[in-house]
Amino acid sequence: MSIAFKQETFRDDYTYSNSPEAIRRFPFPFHQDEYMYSVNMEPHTPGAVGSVFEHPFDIDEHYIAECRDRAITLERDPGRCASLPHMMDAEWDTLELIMESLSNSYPELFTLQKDGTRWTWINRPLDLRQSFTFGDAATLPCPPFEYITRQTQGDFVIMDQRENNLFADAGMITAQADWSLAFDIGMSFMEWHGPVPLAHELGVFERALKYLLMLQQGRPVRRLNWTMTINPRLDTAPETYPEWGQDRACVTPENVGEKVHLRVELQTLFRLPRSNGMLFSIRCYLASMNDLATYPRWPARLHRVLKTLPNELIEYKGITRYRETVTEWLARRDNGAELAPGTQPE
Amino acid sequence: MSTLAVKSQPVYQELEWDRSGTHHILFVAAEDAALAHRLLANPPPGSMTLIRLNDSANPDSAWAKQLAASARYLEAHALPETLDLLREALYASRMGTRLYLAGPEDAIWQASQLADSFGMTRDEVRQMQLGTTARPVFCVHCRTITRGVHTNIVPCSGCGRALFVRDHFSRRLGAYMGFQIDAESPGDIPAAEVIYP
Repeated sequence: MSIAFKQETFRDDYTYSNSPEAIRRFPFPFHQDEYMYSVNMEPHTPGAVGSVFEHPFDIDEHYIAECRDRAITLERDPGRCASLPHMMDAEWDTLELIMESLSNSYPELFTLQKDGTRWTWINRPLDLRQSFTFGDAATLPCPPFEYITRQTQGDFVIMDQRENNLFADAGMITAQADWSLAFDIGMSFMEWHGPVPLAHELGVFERALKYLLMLQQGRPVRRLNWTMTINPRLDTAPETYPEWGQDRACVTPENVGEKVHLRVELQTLFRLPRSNGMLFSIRCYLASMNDLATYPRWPARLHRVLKTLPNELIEYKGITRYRETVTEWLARRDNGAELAPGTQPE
Repeated sequence: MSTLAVKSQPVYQELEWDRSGTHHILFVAAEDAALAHRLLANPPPGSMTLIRLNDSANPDSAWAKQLAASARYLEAHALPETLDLLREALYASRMGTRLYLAGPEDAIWQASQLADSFGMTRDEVRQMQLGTTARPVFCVHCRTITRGVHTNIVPCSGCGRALFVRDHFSRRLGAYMGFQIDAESPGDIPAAEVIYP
């Protein structure tokens, strides 16, 4: 399988677009007509060929453009990548996990050669070739976690496990749904998720933490999360809120289809072998309302979800200003017929 | 006590001595005569140092009055100097030291950061909020901390943006998060209200 990588942008002129194949494999998150938080974790086992679940780390047509966008964000704000001093073992764990996974999943794109601790990494899409000594950070152009996550789609947090808790002690965060690594780094699991409404009261984080503390090596888990974003913008960080906040006020009935995007995060969690830490990957997929309308089930389902979504979630996800406009647009694409359970496009 | 809106916000217990300690450093940045009496009338075994922020030049401090003659007493008239005294005390401290912090959040979390830098663990340090509930606010845009914030909206002392003060708290920074309140509609800034007296 070869991937036709797109030349596109996630800022300024926003030339990002999805091919028909990318729309078809979009991880639409709504099984039913109403949404509420739950501990919706399942084993991250290989899914259908071509699906976003096929490989441990999904690489798609947006790979090169996303790596470029990350580099731009990091140049403007190097603090989007941070790692507390005790995280170096976990950084190497992460580098190993991603390099091995990518070279196994996509041998035509990535190669990892090992000769003892002497490793060579070849990244063909980004035209990189790096020989280094595993465990010796001085042999890489930047620290190992930053090195490998600059070359992988999705945001990453490494959690340190201690005191029967998980601490967000390292992160590469350039495509986040409005949370700040600079502020949250070092927080415990509950502190970090503190601002999320309703879920604490439902006991979701308590159960999720218990489940994750038991996570075993080689048995990763996954869940989907979602929000909405105006324009196909990856960098919706609080840091840059003054740059993108006004976009939320410019949604009109005429531009809903192209401006409003469903933003789905494929969240996967991997136990790390040496550090006993946990890699948390947050892989972002963006689909415009026009993209979703390719398959009639999806806008109809999303319409029902938005109509019944509790106000706390509307507010938390930042949808308040344009909820009505987008709901009306979707209502015209919902004939009210019963939709069978499931997320499938057809 | 209302339930907290955000789980990152610290919940403080009434201060009690940790009697497993062999040296006790009590750092106080506000007056509370009842607490001073309760703690100091029944001191734990071991040596004790009291470090006090004396910003009101009040010689009748309940803390100073109640302290046993055998204890060490140190004071300064401003927070930075009081933190310096704490730094010196921690520098000279040994295994078995327990730290007790009582005062406004700005003071006790700056003191906590100091304790962290000396490798003290969370269970060797106890905190209790006393005095003003004014908040230190971290601007997520320019990373400046504005201190002593009494209102829900405050101009950032670094970049000048009107910040909304969230309940989301970082122990590492010792501050609440602030973000630009009018980012979605510039100039639309509600009147600030005193919420943290």
